[in-house]
Amino acid sequence: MATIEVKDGNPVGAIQQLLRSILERGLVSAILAPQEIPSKKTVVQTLVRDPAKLDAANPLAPVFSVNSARILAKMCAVLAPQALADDTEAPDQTEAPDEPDESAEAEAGENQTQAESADQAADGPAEAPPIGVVLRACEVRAVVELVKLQQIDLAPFLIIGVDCWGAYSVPDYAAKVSAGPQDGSVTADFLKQAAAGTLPEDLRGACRICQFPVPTCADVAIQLIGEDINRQIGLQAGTDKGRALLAAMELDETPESDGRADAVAKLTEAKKALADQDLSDFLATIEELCINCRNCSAVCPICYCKQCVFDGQVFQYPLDKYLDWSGKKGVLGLPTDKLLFHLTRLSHVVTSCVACGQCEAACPNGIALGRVYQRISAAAQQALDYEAGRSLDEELPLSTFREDELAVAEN
Amino acid sequence: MSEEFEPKIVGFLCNWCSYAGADLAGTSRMQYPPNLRIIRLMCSGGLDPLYVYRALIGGCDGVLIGGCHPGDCHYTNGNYKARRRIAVLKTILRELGLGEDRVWLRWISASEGGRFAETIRDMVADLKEKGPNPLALSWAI
Ligand code: SF4
Ligand code: SF4
Ligand code: SF4
Repeated sequence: MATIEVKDGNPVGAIQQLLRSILERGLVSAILAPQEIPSKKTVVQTLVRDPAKLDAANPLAPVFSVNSARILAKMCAVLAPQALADDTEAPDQTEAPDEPDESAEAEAGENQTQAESADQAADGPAEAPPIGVVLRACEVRAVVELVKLQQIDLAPFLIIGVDCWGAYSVPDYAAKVSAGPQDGSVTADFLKQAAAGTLPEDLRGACRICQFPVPTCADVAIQLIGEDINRQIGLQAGTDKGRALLAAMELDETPESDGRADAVAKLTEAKKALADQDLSDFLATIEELCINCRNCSAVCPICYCKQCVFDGQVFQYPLDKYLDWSGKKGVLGLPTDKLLFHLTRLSHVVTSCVACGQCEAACPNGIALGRVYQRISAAAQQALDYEAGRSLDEELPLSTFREDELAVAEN
Repeated sequence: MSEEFEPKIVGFLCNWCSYAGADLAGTSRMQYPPNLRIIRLMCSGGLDPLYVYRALIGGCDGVLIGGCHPGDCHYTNGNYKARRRIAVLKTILRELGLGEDRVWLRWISASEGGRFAETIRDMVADLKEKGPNPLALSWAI
């Protein structure tokens, strides 16, 4: 591991400097990172190619508006037009000869729709610098799952994962900005509390009980927990790509900070203590509050289907069918299929759910889905000896099996 | 009231083993209660959990999923995959307090007519004890 120095007690500035420098040196072709919007009321993900345009980058802002794994999947969805042409020969002289970056990008694009080609990319000809993608821990875990679900190809990306203490909801964060933070920014206020080990109680539901503050499988991890982040930040390479980046930056090797392992364990324990809640009110909550808008599915990184099963013909019923159901039960709740949708969606996603809580954030009626998914996905993944986002090599649990297991499921 | 209550069971049976087992029970004139509605599938591994939920929410009292014994799947390993999927489904029902023990996964071979009849008798007895599925009273379908 390596460390970077933090000047003026400003860790955000140090990270901006880091991102700017890897972009300036051409170690990455672009940076995808959250930046504060001019009003400062939230951050949005941005793709930056001009190092001068990173001034508002703030990966430490405690606000979480989209799970960026969805963004990467979208970027991988379309085969780049250049990749369709057979360009096995040397770079085409007639095409943008003065912009070597462009053709380099086409190379990267070639691999984008085939997750399988990821491991071949290393042997490919002239490699384009990757896009540096700055993600919080649960986003990295969602990326890992989407790689295995063949929705993301990692080849064009360099994943920079950041330790995460949690975040506020988008409206709560905006309200805090409007109310005027004490220490100059909501980020500074938050980091102060986090470093002191007293996390605010009004974090997003999923963040309050998150069990995974540290990014796994990232090429480079930015380590904050257990560090004195007003003085220094840790950088840990997790892959060859990450090691190459740190080597190119000529950072000195430093030992892992003493307090880190303890600080991570303490944080996880504290959150775990809040997690174990009874979910038996779920049925009533869905019947009362769910309007079947399916926003929860629309924002979920794991609900990646091009067409959801609930959009299919099976769920278009003739009028008679409604009367039939109503006749059988005496009363039929509308819209139909709310509980069915939730149970089915649970079945489809819990084995890969990363408990990011975006489903909860998207619900117009404030249904606390975060704790539901956190608890059920933990239980289901444990039953199958799997952990979403833990490793790129572990097979997806529903596409494999062991002969001798799960006798408990049999009757 | 539990004397009067006749549970409704939906059985998803695989074509090669459990359905044939049910057939054998019938042709051998084995007695089992008439509480079961059978839906034949090609393989237990092809069952989308959606249909199990649909049956439970629609008000049926129990769901039986029948497949070939481990190692005997006509499609090599569909039953092993079904077992994982059903394990997830049961976890979901359990965590939500929706009665995972109304869903039974049982391996019944084509020659096990007796085991099939016994399964239905056991299941009916068990569901009579449990009483009607509370989801039947919900407004949901
Ligand atoms: S609910 Fe199921 S079918 Fe629909 S988008 Fe999600 S995973 Fe796909
Ligand atoms: S189900 Fe909810 S918590 Fe799980 S990955 Fe999807 S959005 Fe995140
Ligand atoms: S976002 Fe909320 S209201 Fe909409 S379908 Fe999901 S739980 Fe129901």
